Amino acid sequence: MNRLFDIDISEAAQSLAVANTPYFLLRKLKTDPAVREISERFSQDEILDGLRTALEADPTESVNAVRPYVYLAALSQKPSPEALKAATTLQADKWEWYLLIAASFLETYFSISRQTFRAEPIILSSARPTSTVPASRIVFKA
Amino acid sequence: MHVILRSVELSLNTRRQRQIKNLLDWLPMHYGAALQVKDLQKKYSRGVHRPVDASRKYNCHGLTFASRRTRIEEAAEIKKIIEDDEYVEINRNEALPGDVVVYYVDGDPEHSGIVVSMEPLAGPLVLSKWGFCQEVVHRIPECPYDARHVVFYRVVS
Repeated sequence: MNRLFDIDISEAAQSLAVANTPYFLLRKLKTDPAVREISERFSQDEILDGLRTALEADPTESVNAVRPYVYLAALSQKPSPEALKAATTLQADKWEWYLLIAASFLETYFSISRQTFRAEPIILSSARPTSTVPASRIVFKA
Repeated sequence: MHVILRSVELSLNTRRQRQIKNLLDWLPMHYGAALQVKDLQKKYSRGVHRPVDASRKYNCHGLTFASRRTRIEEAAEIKKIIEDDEYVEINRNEALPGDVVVYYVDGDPEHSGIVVSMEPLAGPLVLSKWGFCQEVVHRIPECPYDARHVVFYRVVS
């Protein structure tokens, strides 16, 4: 948990400080490097636990004030929406944009078509030492 | 008797008497806001950073459209004000002091300000408030907001 809270989220705090609308903050979080780092380094359960802890704090300090939004954004970048769905049900009265931002991330999540497919290489021609054409032509077939 | 002032909505109407959704937040600023103000002063050093404290009471739209009384955050409310108060869109090169500018991203009015002068080379100078932070007089692109789609408006009658 401490490691999660040690990630520097000061850039996100600055985004919150200059946000005139919640959607400005939302756009900034989508490209925030700390959000990406958290999403890549921590499991969704760890982030969700961190979010619950963050919501128990008071948003009186600029970094704590943005922390729940950062964790929501990190959950939105996970391959499964389950933790993000759970996050939308948490009590967050002290964070005025929480519900709107959580709902927006969830809506964006489901509006993006996510499809995983496996590509298998098919070798069409073999390498020949004297050939001037590429050693091989490999086409990936979905 | 101490009165604890928290968030309230002011009675605030457009010319056509429709209520403008707003939020006057009396809560104190976050600790650390003063440092964020200083960071912005350093980063945007060409702007005139007015010596006013960071405040949750009003935002840029509150400055532009509500005389610094409150915060207005929703796109639908800005649209309502522009329609009901009879703002007319004008070209950037026609802008004069007193006109307003709105910065849009995907329909979201992420920033607004009031034109305070027209510089021969730099174009309009704008007075605006940057979120919870300070008021700044700045050139159109020299702020934390996306200036690729800005629209100028004027009330003509």
